[in-house]
Amino acid sequence: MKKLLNQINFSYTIYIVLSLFFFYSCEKEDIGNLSQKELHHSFSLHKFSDEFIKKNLIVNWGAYDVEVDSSIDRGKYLYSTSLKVPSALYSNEQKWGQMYKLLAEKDSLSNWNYTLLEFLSVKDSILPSNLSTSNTVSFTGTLYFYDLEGNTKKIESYEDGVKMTEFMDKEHGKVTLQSKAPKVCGDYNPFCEDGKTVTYIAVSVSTYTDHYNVREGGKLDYSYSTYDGTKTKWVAVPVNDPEPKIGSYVHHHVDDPNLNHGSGSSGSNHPKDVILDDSFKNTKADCAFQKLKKQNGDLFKTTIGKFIDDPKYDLIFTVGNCEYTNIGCTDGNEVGENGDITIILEDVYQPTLEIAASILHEGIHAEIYRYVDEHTDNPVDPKNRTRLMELYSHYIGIAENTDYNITYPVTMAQHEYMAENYVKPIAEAIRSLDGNKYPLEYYMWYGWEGLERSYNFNSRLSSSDKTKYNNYQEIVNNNTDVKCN
Amino acid sequence: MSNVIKVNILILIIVLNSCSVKKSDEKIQENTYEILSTIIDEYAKPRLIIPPPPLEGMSDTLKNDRDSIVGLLKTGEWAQQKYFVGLRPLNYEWQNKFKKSEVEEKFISLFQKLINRNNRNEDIASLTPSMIKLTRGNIIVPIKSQIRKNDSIWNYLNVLISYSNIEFNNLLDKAILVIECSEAEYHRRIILLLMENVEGQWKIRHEYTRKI
Repeated sequence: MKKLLNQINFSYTIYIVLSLFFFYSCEKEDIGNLSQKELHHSFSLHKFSDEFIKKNLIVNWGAYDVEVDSSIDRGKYLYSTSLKVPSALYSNEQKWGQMYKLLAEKDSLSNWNYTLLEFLSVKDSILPSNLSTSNTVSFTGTLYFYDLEGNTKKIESYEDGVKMTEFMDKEHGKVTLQSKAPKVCGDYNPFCEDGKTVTYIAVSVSTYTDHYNVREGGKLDYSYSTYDGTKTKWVAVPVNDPEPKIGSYVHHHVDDPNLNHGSGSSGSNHPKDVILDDSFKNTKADCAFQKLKKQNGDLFKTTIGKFIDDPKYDLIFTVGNCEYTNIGCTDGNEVGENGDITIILEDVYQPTLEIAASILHEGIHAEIYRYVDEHTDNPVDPKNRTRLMELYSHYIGIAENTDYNITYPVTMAQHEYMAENYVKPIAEAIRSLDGNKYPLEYYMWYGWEGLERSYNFNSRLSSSDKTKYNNYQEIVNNNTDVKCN
Repeated sequence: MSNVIKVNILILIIVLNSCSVKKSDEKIQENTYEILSTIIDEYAKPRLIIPPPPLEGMSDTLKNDRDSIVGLLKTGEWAQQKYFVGLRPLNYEWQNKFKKSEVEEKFISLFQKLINRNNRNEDIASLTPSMIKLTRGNIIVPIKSQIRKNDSIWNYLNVLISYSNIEFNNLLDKAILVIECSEAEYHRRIILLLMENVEGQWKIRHEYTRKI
């Protein structure tokens, strides 16, 4: 009898264990089979405001945890995610580890609602994969809750896994470095006890995607970056942190996700470089720039290429309006402050080879700005460009007399310098881009364009030269295979 | 009301209305001349081309040029030098050179109206040069014939300005037009101009330049 009872007990136990196993499996299957399609169809990041997330976040639909919310008696599904490129947030003083998870839950009408969670850890650069809203383990940092448009729904801060503060962001994530820091320790805050306080600082992150040339043997060398936008967010500074810090501005670089260079980062991200603004991307000018970059001729390397090698300076390409009637211009006004030099192309409707020549022309201006800035405090001139400095001092000297009303002495100096040194190199570069179809003479006008108001142009070219070169250019433009739409 | 009174009121309304139309046309013409004066003063002015210092080791052949230019600078007279400005209605298909999306928002409807007028091939009003009031001593040369690339007239003209119709807003404080501004046969620009009247003076608010 006892044996029989033992046998029944054993069978019963087996039955219970198997039932539980199947029940649990079924629950996993339930979300896996029945709702997977539903989830896929109703989830999209295409309206998400943060371009980096929109482009790089991948939801791992096969890897999720179930969190039971006793208050509503429904399950929440927490999906792990991955990024196409590694990501971290850092300022000069601090580095934050980053991890995203997707929380999916059904509302009373059985519609799926999504919240993207962003964990920003102060302590760890790699966060534990089992981190969740109900399992904050030893998390110290800031937890963001975003809707699918990228608006901030809620911000929480944690110290060693304990929630310290929670607040609704009234600005819904539209924070700037000038925004007033949130007050998180007041009467309304139930988590603020024993004089504990949490300070939030604003961190502004500009994201850039770095693009590379793949050389022989798979070697990568940096080419240029594209700007993906700037986002400012509040980040909690721990309780025992000293004095509150002012907001930080951070450059965040990630590698081109389409670049197949094995795992991880190329390890050669550039903090400052050649940046293609949104207004420039996908224009005819962008296409002409890509052709010049691919060709990577001597002139390109020694002008625009200089910004690739010099982390102190940024070269930014935009499409917009020049202050005065120009088809392109270069703004070097900020070079002394932040190293930024901006090339503005106004006419992107020109024939492709003319745009390429404009890019080279403005690239030379930019390189001269960079060079002069670099040697203003450091008179040691390794390339002995004394002529350039002489022209600067000549034209600036004349303009210093305010009675003379000379408004652009720097442009005058640069144009004379270009007329003396760069007309032929530009012509050669465009000829090479055109596959050396015609003799060099046919390309000389590409070199002279933009220099029409220089003394060299008016003294070195006769009327018939001007007409001849201009006509040659028309022939080249009409017969070239180098075309962008 | 007797029929006679009715007819009189009707006549009065017609007369008043025609007066206001006439006044509005006059105002537009007046503003058209003011705008062209502003544009010519802006685009047809002498630019001093100052010679660079001699290259190291080269004899200074430009010294006289430099001295004479510095002399001009000292007197300031160069800014008053006469410029020969060719003026003619624009005959260039400019529509595809500018996109509506790049035009400042408050000028978009004017831009669209200008395009519509251009598409309808509306004649561009011919102007009386003496009505253009210039602040500098420019000389206006009305051009009626076609100018070819190698035409000898380029030797005499300093600048050739071709103008489109001008589209005004109702308050006559905003206007839009397209000009071609050529300093030589090889240096031609087509420019979309957004104009604004600030305290009775027309000013260029924005210019969009394209090479042609």
